[in-house]
Amino acid sequence: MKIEMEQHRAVLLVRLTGELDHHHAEQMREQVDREIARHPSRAVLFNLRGLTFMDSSGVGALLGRYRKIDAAGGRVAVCEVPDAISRITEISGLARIIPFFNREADALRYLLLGVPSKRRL
Amino acid sequence: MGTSTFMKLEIESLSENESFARVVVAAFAARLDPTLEEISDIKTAVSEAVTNAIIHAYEDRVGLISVRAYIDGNVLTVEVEDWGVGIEDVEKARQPLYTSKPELERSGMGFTIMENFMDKLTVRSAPGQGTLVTMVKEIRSKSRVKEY
Repeated sequence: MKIEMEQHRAVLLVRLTGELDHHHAEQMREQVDREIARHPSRAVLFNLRGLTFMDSSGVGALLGRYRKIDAAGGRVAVCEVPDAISRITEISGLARIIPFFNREADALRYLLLGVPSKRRL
Repeated sequence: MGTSTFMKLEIESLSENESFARVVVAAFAARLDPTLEEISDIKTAVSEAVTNAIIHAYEDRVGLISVRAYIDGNVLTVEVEDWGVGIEDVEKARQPLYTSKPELERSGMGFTIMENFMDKLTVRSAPGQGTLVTMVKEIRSKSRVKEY
């Protein structure tokens, strides 16, 4: 699994490529938490375009980051969910908890300006 | 017919084996000509069962996990068995969002995902003896639709 992180103004942009299962979720959790600790961001955006697989361990890791950042007063969003994992994001309820966006630009706008999402219900 | 209808894979309960197990079962199921969505469902369900065995059944030790799959007509049956700690209360464990390990950021959705992605799920477990998860899925093959 590839984890790329870049700072886009106040947003930490995390691009995930590969398979987000239990094995790789631990790696993602460690790297993202380390980056947040180093540069406290007010917002984190997960771009999932490159994911080919995700199971409930991946859902748990994303929810865990969301809870942590939300509790610290920050915002989290998810964008570009590929078809291969859209079913698990729906059934697990992830899409009802974290704001989802089709386009990265819209997600960034929401995180930077607070523009409300077309939150999928 | 000389078509294979059974496979068995034994792996150690190490997280790097999760992808190995789901890919092997998906490759075995491929002879039923499943859709991409069906393959994705099977991989996800197998991953959930194997991950449970690694995290819960064997906790801090490494044990064996047996993954077996059968094909009967267009029906795929997958069994994931471990000889670990077992589940005290299967009904409670199957509740959505229930997790015995919230500190590990488990979503508690493993069994719910298996139920939703496969047609049938049965869980047999005895504390101290292990757990057998059986999942059944009918493959509504693309080619079969064309044939008739």
